[in-house]
Amino acid sequence: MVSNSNNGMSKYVTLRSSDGFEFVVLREAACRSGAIRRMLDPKSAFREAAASVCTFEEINGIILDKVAEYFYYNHKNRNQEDVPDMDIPPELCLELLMAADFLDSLFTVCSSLHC
Amino acid sequence: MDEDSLPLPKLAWDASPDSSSHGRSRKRAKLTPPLPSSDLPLFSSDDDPNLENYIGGRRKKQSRGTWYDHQPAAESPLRSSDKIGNHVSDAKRAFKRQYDSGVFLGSDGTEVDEGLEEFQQSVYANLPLRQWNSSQNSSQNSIIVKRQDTPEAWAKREIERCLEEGIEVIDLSLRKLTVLSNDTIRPLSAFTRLPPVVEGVFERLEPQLKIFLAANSLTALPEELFNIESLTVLSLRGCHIYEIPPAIGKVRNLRELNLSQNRLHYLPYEILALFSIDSHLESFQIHPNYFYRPKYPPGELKEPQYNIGLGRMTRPGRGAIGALASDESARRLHPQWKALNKARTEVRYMDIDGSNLKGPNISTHMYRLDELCPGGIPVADADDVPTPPKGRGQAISRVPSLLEVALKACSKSPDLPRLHTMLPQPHAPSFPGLLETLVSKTESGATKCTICTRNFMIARTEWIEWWEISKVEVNPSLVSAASPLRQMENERDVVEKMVPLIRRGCSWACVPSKSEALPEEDAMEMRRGCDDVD
Repeated sequence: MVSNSNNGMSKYVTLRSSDGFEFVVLREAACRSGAIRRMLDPKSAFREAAASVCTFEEINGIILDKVAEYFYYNHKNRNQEDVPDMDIPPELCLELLMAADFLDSLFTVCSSLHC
Repeated sequence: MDEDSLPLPKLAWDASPDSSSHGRSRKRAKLTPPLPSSDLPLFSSDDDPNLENYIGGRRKKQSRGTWYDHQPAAESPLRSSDKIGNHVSDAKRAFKRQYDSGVFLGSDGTEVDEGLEEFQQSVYANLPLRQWNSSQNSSQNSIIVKRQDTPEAWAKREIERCLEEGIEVIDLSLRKLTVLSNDTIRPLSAFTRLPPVVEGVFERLEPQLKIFLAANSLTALPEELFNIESLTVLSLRGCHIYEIPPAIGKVRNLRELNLSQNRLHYLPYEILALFSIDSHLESFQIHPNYFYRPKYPPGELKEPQYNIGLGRMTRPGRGAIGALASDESARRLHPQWKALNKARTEVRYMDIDGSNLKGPNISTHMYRLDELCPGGIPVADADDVPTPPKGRGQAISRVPSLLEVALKACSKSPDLPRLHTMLPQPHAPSFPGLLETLVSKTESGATKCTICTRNFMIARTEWIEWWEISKVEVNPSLVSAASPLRQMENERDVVEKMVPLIRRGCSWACVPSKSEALPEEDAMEMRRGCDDVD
């Protein structure tokens, strides 16, 4: 809710972790996740869509930090030919795996949607 | 010592030697066991400085040893007191074994004779310690036997022996090996030849390792096998291998490779590196195997038979391929070898978790090939353009999925083999399987995208290319002079020349480029790099 764009949707969305950390990320970047995309779909009746805040009860702050980092990594490299690797500390790998499953994060971009 | 405090069964202890010897003549009847030492044993070494003490200390011996040494005594069948009546004959029978077992050590300096031994047996044979000692010995023996029976342990020792003695031929064939781990093979990369002892004689010290793994039951290969730089001969004939790791492209010194009689449906694309100019491959045996065969559309003159004989060489434009290829695995070909890309299948697209979304099912574990795809896998059209399946958005990028990123992190974790047990409980049903494949993948080496050479964990695209790999006759005139018919190839030869190579991509953008989508284009250029992709 940093700014409001023309169609009444903010350019940024807030991701809130289970332990209360909030990450404000570009809507376009966050919408790479299928789950977030559905949550924020203005056509849906989800509370998150109206408030542009997604709360994840399953994901803690450390992991959500990495997830937000990934969104930007994905967003930044979406048209790159040579994509650099993203470093993940090994101790986070399992939790990130669970988060990945939850978010159904794809590398394909939802360009057709309102992102 | 308080016997009641021990977790041992009650002993049938018969202190009188006469009752057990049954009046048998004894050479030294006067030799009764000496009294136990009056000194209290403080340390275990206090007990038996010599044999007299050893015998005398027997009473104490019931509680000697570690606690777990005593445990099996309870299971000893001969211990019960009702057997004491006929235990002499039993003991007599058991005598040899006990003597051999070294429990009763008749070392020099001990005054052991028959009578004493008999006495020993008769009195002590049913002691749990004794009984157990013999059983322990036999169990130890069985453990040793078992250890010897593990083929991998044997292989390890054989490799150590070869390392120590500098033997270059490592023959592990016919050993019923089912697994071969990286740890077993790893020492071989440090192989050094023993320098010759003759003065003034100089010999090369780079080894030329020859590893024979023929006729084992191996299903997969460890990565370390391909890290051995000095590997020159590798025979995997007659194993149960269903996939060769891409790491095989690393063994540039390989001269002979035998992969026949396995369960291979295809070879890795990286194997082409063995035919490049800086490789030394001379012999390449891959048949018979369950290789995929290309199925051409009916009615087209693209049947393999078309290429029979000299026609292949006279067709215009079909030149040697040697000129190009910017990508790492397909550099200039060795003049001895000819490899031409003939055809490919349609591209198979997979979801982020590796499940099939579109395209031919090129499963690795199909055993009976003919049942699943009779006649081979259909070849893609010449103008086939790979199109990704719908439903995952339109734009395609090369960015790995978050799942892929997380799996890559998992593969670096030292706990990888145990990770699947640490998964939090409500997890996706595919995760344990994914982690399992991750384990086997790290065991057999990293997989690289054949388009953009990135490491990947889960392939997103794969397709098979048929390459005609053949050896160039060094002296064709000689061959034709000897037998002119020699140049006529029969159908089997032609079919067998078509080697299916699997190529995998790390993203949906990693697909064959347009020019390569023309399978019948003669003198096909080797695959170019990523920049060719739209």
